Amino acid sequence: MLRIPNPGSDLDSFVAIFKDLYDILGEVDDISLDDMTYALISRNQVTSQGAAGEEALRRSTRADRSRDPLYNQLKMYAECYRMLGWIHPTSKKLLFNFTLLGQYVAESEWPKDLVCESFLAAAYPNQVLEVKGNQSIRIFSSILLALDELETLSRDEMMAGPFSMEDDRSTQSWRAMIRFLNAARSKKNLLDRRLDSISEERGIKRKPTMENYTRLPLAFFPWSGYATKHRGRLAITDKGKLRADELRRSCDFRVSDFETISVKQQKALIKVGFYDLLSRASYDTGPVQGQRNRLAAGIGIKAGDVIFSAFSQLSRTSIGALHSDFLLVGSKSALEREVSKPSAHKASHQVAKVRFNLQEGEIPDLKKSELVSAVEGSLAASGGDAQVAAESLHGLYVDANQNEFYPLIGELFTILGLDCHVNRAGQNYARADAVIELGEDDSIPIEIKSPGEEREISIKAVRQALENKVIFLSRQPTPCKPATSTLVVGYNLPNERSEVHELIDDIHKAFDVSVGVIGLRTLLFLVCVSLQESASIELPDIVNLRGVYDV
Amino acid sequence: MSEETRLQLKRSQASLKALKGGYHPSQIEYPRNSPAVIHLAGGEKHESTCIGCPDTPCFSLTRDKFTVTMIDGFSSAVHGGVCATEAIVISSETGIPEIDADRCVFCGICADRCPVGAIYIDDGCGATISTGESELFESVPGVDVQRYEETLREFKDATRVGPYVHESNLFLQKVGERVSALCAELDGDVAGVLVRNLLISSGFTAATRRKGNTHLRMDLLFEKGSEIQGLAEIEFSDSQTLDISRDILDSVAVASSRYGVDRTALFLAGIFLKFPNRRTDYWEILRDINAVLSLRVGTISLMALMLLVWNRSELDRKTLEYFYTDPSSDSYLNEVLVKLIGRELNLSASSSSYLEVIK
Repeated sequence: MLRIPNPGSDLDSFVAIFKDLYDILGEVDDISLDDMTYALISRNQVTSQGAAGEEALRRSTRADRSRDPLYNQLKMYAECYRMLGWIHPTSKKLLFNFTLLGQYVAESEWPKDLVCESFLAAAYPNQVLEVKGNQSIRIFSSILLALDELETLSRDEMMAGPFSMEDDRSTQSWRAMIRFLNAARSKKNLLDRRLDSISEERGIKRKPTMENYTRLPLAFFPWSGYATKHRGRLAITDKGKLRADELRRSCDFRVSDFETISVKQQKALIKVGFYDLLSRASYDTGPVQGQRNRLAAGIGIKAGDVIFSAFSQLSRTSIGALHSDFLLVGSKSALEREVSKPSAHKASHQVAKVRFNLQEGEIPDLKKSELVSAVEGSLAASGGDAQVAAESLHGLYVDANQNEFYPLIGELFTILGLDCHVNRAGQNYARADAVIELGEDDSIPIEIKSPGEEREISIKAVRQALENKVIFLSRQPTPCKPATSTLVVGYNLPNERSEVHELIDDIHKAFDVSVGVIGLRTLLFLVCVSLQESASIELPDIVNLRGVYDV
Repeated sequence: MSEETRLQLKRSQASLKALKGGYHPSQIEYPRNSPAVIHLAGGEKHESTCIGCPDTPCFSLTRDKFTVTMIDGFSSAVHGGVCATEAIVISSETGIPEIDADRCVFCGICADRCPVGAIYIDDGCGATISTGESELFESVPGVDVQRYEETLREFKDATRVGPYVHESNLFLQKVGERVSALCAELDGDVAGVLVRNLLISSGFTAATRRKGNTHLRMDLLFEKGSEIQGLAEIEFSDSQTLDISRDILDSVAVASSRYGVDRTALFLAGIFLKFPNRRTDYWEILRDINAVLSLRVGTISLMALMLLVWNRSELDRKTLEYFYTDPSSDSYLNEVLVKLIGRELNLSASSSSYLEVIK
């Protein structure tokens, strides 16, 4: 299956970012991904890791560039712009120059038609991208042609259809693909099985990897007006049908054809292909019409019919050897940077190790409960290792829904010696899912997220915890002190990339509210230890929680 | 740079029609559902017509209008179109604007931005462009910037009379339904761009977050110099109303903690296509937030923003205050809209949540 990166699926931004890059770097040779980042920072086009501009760059920068989110995003943009023939790699790896076609796109006040033509002309394999594999496919054109035959296409059909063809110019393969997609519409699971087998063959996951490859086409077709998006499917429009007809009638040249013709014909094809592309994008080719007709005749074709974009098919060296006047050469060797390159960023937020103290002799009498029996059983099976016991219990609740998970959390806190009540489902006034009452004058609202709702605690839960606190302080369903924490308890702790840690800091700085996040594993571990030592949790520990806590 | 022959885009530039010498427009009158009429200082009246502005103000916004300064580096949507639904296009054949009636949401922004009143809003088919011949104007060859600027100067002080749209319950309901349908049908952030452009027309610089950008969570920032800074969350669906207050608190925390924005000076708002039902907790939570965090959150309806544009009313610090509607108030229409527009409106108590908070 073909791999098309997805730097972002807003085509207006995709084009605007390219125009900004050209505006700043158009005169520069050997442009690096870092140069692009700095250029985009100056145009407010950079966000990463929950921040914008230079702060985003600081947070994103890693010593290991392959783990640097911003660098990787720019790499994806660069790959897409190369696919379209708007930039070319120079002699050095990951350094680029703008192409003549890129210059036309960037300088046009009305670039939409030219952008559409660039997409439809993109074809694999080519000399611009180092894409391995044996597929020969003009992908966006193929999707449009498939749409024309089938009227609509779903993402999955796109993946199993045009994206997975070996040769889109083989009539046999094409008919087989269309037959398969038609059959898959009436035969349940046929499409799924095909996609699973592609996934297995290529060693890539269907979700999200394979699906992500289709995001740019899914954004392109509604944007171009060739299709509309309806209930998750692309549906061809009249404009799309018209363009599909033209594509069918065109002379389709690929890099493999280019390599088999004479040098004279190659020179002609580069020019005719470019003029034809511009002509389809509403450029006035009058000034070169005579030349265009003459050159086309030399290849035995009619000008206007050719679909071959040298800039997305041929390397800079190949084009330069035949038409040096088609190369853009910058007059500056490096961009004067306005911001200094930041040093590698290290995550400043750490998951805190739990620091709960247990106090002896206050564990409530819960020895009869099923949960206590289960915890004791697990402890016995683990030879008294609380961590192993907690881990094994944790696995038992992986599919728990709200009805099972909320009472579980309530009971775990209760075993720890806290006065915890779980609210009835639908009791909206108090809003929090549970509350720990701390004597007569204080309480802790708890936002619970069952694994059915979210496997890992997200910023959404943190937002709700803040709202719980505000509601508790305002409505006082139970008395509550401003400085006391508001808790989130979920199945797993937030993943590394989530912004939970930062949002907790932001909330504390802005509103002086402490949000504490605890995972089920931590609670189970505490309960194991608590039962082993017949101890309960010390109150000040739970009252002052802020941040993410783990065992 | 390449020495290759430079080809030009075949795009007709509309020939500019400049105001003839000696004519001084004093008023542009907007009769209901009819082309605007230009009144001259001497009393003569002429129907307006498209003059083919070289900078196409009815079609595109300049970038400064959607570049805010309150958050350094805020990466905003680059959609520079005046029309959120892209109903208005500049014809490549004629160079003058054309409007797809099926996509028009009657917002009136294009009419407001036309310097000579050549666009009027027909409450049946939406924005309509007058393109007929007019004695007032003469065609000038090429892009004659000087003649264009002279024409703009002459029209700048002409008083505009009559709203672009005459409001009624039925019409607002129709507009709400049209917006709702187009938001569902069209790709892109129609709601965000529409609200942004309405605020720009009401005198602000405003920026929406780029679609799909998860690194900046605030939906919309708007400002008027250093005098007003605002932050809003936009909700055009019925199902997510409770998220609005959470999103606002999240955005305030981020803006204040990461970007040093003074949270106490921010105007905060939830912007809705349809009001949350009175029974939803949204209204109570606004009280809670005010009581606990001393933050006031206004509630703005899309129709309020449209009424502002239709009546050419700009928002300022004082009028923004009207949006801090009390959850216990009986009527958004009386408590907010009438005060905002400064006149009695041709609207009555309604059971439509596009217009009023329903019990």
